[in-house]
Amino acid sequence: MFFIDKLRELNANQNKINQIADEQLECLAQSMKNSPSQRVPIEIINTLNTLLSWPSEVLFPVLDVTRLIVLQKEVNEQLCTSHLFQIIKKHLKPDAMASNQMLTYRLLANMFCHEKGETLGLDSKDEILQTLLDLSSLGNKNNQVKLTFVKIL
Amino acid sequence: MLKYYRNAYFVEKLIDCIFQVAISTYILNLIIALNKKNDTSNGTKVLNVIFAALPRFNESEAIFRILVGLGTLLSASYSTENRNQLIDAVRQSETAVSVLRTLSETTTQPNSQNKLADCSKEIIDLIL
Repeated sequence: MFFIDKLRELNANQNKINQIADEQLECLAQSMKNSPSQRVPIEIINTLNTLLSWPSEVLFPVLDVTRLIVLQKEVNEQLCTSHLFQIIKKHLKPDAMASNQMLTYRLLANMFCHEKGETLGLDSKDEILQTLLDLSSLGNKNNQVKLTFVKIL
Repeated sequence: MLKYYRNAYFVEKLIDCIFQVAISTYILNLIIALNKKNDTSNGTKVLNVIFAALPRFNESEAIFRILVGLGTLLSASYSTENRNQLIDAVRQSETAVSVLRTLSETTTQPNSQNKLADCSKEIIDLIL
């Protein structure tokens, strides 16, 4: 799985506080293959929360994994909290990296598929709608997004 | 060199498309969730975002999702008063009406579906 391999590569460059044990990354990779109703270990949530605290410049694969895994009911129930919303707000600011903004909106869209995420989406709608109005023309962000995307590839 | 620029152009276009679809999907899912809770009192706030997005988006799937969201917001409102307020707001938005008219008049190959035109016509029928 491409993005898990990318996470391994980026993980090696993190400081000790933000580093994830390889077994945890492997567990995350396995969880992504689960059916939506399957139980997930609590460690997955801890792993995701650590990954989501990585620097913005390397967050692209983390956000991509998160927006996919949040489609699983149990992950959705445990991850969609006020803590996640603080992370979402950070990456929707007008000066946030455009690639992270794009994936954060994808995460927000996927959150609605289960009740907990839907509740968080509804509770946060005023702030999110305002960030959309504050979003400058998508065309201005393109170069930044392109460079980040190509770098990740 | 030419191949590089062509590839770079397609990457840029792809990312812009993905961004537009991400935003439109969020808007659509939010509207569906609001309707489930019978909470369209916040419809005006969502409408303002739709009015801002519609003229700026050029990715057809993104536009389609916004139109579906708009139609859902207007037709599924739980109170007649609220529904009429939202319809009035759309009628008064010259930008929105202009975009809807343009999309509704788009012609395509015979016998092919033009979901943007069909959706726009339905919304125009709702508001006029």
